[in-house]
Amino acid sequence: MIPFDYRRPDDIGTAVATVTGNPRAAFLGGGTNLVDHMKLGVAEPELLVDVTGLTSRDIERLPDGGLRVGAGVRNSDLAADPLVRERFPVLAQALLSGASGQLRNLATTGGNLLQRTRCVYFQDVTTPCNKREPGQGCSALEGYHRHHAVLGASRQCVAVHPSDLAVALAALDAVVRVQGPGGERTIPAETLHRLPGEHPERDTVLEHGELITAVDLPGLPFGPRSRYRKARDRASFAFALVSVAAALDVAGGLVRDVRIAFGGLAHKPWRARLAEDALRGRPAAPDEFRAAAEAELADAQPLRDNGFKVPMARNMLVSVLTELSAEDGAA
Amino acid sequence: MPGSLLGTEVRRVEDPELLRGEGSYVDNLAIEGVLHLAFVRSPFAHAEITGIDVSEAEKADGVVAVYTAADLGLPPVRQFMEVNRDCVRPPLAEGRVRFVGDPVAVVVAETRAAAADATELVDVDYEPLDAVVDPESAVAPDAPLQFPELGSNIAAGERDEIGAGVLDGADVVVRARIENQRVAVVPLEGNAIAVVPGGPGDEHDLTIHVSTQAPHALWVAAAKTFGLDRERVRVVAPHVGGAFGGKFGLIAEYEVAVGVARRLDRPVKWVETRSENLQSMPHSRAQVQYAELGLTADGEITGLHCRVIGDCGAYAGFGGGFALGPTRTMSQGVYRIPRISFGAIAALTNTTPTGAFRGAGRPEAAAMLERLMDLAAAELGMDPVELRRRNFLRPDEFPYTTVVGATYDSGDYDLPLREALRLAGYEDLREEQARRIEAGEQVLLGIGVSTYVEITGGGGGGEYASVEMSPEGRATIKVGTSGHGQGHPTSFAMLLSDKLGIPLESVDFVQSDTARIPRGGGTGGSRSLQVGGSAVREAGELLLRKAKELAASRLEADVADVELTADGRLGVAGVPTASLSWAELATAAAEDGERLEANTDFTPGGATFPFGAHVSVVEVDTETGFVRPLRHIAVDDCGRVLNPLIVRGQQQGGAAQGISQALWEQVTYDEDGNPVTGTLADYLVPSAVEIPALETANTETETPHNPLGAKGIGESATIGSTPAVQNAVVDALKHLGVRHVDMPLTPQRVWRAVRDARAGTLPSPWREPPQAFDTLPVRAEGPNPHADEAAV
Ligand SMILES: Cc1cc2nc3c(=O)[nH]c(=O)nc-3n(C[C@H](O)[C@H](O)[C@H](O)COP(=O)(O)OP(=O)(O)OC[C@H]3O[C@@H](n4cnc5c(N)ncnc54)[C@H](O)[C@@H]3O)c2cc1C
Ligand code: SF4
Repeated sequence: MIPFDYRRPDDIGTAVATVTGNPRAAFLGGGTNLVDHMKLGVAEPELLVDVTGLTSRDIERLPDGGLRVGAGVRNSDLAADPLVRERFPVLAQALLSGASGQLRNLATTGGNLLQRTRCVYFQDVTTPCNKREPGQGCSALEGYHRHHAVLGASRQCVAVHPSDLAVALAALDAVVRVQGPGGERTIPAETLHRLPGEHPERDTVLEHGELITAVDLPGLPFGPRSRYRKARDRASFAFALVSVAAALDVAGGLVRDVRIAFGGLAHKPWRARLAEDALRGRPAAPDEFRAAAEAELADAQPLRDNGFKVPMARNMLVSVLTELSAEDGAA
Repeated sequence: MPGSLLGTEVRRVEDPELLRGEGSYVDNLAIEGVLHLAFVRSPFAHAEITGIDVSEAEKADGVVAVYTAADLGLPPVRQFMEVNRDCVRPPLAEGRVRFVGDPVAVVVAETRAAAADATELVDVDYEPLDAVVDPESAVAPDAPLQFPELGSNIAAGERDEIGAGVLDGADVVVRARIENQRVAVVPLEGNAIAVVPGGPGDEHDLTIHVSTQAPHALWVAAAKTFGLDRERVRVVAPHVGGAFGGKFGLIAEYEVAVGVARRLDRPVKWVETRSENLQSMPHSRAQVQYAELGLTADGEITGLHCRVIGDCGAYAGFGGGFALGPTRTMSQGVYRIPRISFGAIAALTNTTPTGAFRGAGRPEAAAMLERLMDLAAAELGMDPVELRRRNFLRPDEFPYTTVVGATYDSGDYDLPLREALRLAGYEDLREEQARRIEAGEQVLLGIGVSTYVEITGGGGGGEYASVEMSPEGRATIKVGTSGHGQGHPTSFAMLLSDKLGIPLESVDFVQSDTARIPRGGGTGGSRSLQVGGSAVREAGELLLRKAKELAASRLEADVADVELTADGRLGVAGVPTASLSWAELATAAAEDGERLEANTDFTPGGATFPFGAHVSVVEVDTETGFVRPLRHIAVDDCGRVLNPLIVRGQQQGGAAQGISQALWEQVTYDEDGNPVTGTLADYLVPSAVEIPALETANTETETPHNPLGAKGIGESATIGSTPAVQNAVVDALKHLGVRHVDMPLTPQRVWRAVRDARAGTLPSPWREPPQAFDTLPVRAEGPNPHADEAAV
């Protein structure tokens, strides 16, 4: 780990200006990912700007029945919030399925969204990796890639984004509020992360120095009928092989509305628009769910050792939607 | 005398200290002016080192020195056990690196952080070589060689001439290629050492505080390696945060630490990180077994043919040698097997060297045999329990010498099996299993049985113990075992309390310090109670005899009339007023210028052979391949039980690790030899959620080899549990035609097996072993040199 400076500015403007002005500066949230990367030599910032005291730690009600979550809200607090649990159970479930109690106590909402891939080669500076060092090549392509992408990958990088929270937010049409040098802007959570394409080194559409200040969850009347399911190698302390975030609104046996996002399949949370479109107005029945899942996954391109993810994603979606359609009040 | 404590549930006297966080581990030791070490490790599995430039690192803040092999000139690592002396391992790599994590240079700095930072400034040039990652390709004719002068990657190997001939005449032969996968030891505390050099004016030239299971062995190795008189060296093991076989010997990094401390004449410390631990502490198991069992049509075993490759990892790590030693020694298991042919290869691969882990070669034997028994039961259409019973050795046959030359002390193999089946409710489980299949349910039930025997406390070694009574009436035990969580302070105090009639609270316990205990075999191979405990008991007996003589002279009585009274004094039989307390006796001895002390070297009658039966009940989801262990019943017979609480603890911990091997754990490398399970996020040690409630029980079949009647319990449940779980998973899918699935039984593997079974495309569990077996030297006639071996 190379020496670095640490600062705790008093206001957001200074924080943003400081990081913007220094290409080797980084914001520091809970540090559970960034500090790990500094120890491993994956990240080598010379200046850390601690934003945990700057960004809000509050969860506020929005007039439309939604919530505004400050970027400094810890994962454990967010998961425990009564309004979150009532209005967006999928979000609380996603958080609780991730990491461990200790990590969630430290991890922030902003930091969680910007955590980086767990690809073993990315985290091992002695192996080639295009995401760490563009142009080096991708070790995972022919190497160990059981956890890697089946959708939207490129030859440059086949990594997946590891955040569970981000998957739930993508499904919920959340909006990420960002403060940059030129002012504030908002980005739909679904488009915050990008596909690798020719630039695997870029995880998100954020510019250097842009600070996440909050995440808005718009009101969603059928939010209470939502669910997160995660398949993983161990019941705790393990990342998703595949995960599904879904919310379902059924009226008269037909799907009135639905939100679906997958985790573990791509370089970003995979909002399943094709499946959603296929389902609206259709009977809330397992065959329909299956057909919709297959439509979404039709373009999947598994690698040598991760083909299991495709049927796994399909089956998980079918079972989650089937369970949601059977929930009280769903008919 | 108050009722004896022996056989009762006594709470561990050492726990309050540990629970309060008052334990002291190497890293907690406050050592003035200590320097910190950090190793530069190879990122390549196999490469020539063409240059090392340490100049930048030397200039870094806080750095005191940076050394390579050439600077320190240390002698080769003395492995705890030697598989091939020509596979020399320099403690810092010389010329060539042979696994990812191989130490190449060491940085010495004022702080741990400065040392770690400076490792990144050491510039090593490598010329990568082709790597061999799995032991089967290692023995292929065209494999890249790790020690070219050796001519092959076979570090050791031998076979029996008869080979497949032992299967002649069998009505049926079942065969499988079985992987006993590589696992990591994962103690909570990794390797750790602090070395304090001394000078002529000091009591020692070298004081080594180290997290080890066997301080005396390390002491001998350190003195030899550095050409010092043993008296000038002191090795102390403070609290050790788990070891499980992984902490034996003066490992490469320890040798470097000692070398650096001596070079700089300053204390140094090295406490490895978790990632380092997963690369540097020996891995274990790592066998590929080609096993064939012949039987008559009615289920009597006629012969066993095994060809086993043990993976040494780099530098002929001693774990690879278990294939030739304990795995073969225990290959007959609990059965009557008239003929065994055993071929074994210890193969070099470019991976972390292997060593011992809980069971060390015996779990591999049990797993192999228990899989074969289930394969045979399926082939013959017999119940697996029935097939086992048909082949058990009978209780009246002990002592029994197996065809591979082990002499089993005592056994009654159906005893724990009956108990395990009763506890499990075997018949009901079979009914429920049939019901689910009948009903076409998605989640099926599997019932797995394993019966095993293992070897403990062997190696021919005895143990030292002494007991001394102070004038305050406190007894001090000093013993050469080196417990690290097994409960020795409690068990050994119970033995002494029973012998001397003193309360547990009056017993002090000393171990793991070569300056205070003259010799010792350490703790491994489940030896401590049976060997060390027997030594303590014997020392107590000797002390009692001495005390009786002293009492007789003071009380002017015949020594034959002196006895221990009900209130823990020594008195004259029939004369209630004539008695002395232990404090008075010790004071009397002191007045005579003597110490009330006795010591002994206890030698057991031989290795002991604990055994048992496990039943595992699992649910297998045929849609997802997910296995949920529902129940695990462990009935382990470790001879006479001293403290059931402690035995249960060993069974629970052992079973948890054994279940975990069956279902989750595996160290894996990619094809270039990069570890891909290098953190605990990737390496699947289970959490509490995964492990089912463990139902443990014991039967007690005493051994004649020690006065306690005790056998080892440390490794039993690890050995018994793994095959029970594996058998249970296969059992759940048996009706589909599935006969074998390798460990770990991940959802993916199980799901594939179900898919293939349904498609009628199940691969055969057998394939022909590598040809390398055919050209192995034939084993010398005569007794098995490993027959009494269970040192780790
Ligand atoms: C063993 C382990 C298991 C885990 N398992 C899971 C899991 O199963 N599921 C899961 O989702 N996660 C898991 N995690 C990851 C964990 O959720 C993240 O480490 C955590 O959420 C990161 O949050 P943080 O606040 O600590 O971020 P930091 O480490 O502080 O920061 C992460 C990144 O975000 C940037 N950043 C931080 N705050 C802001 C901000 N406000 N604006 C802009 N940039 C910012 C930082 O510069 C850095 O690049 C696991 C982590 C570990 C170590
Ligand atoms: S998948 Fe992406 S992160 Fe992993 S090695 Fe390839 S480029 Fe690097």
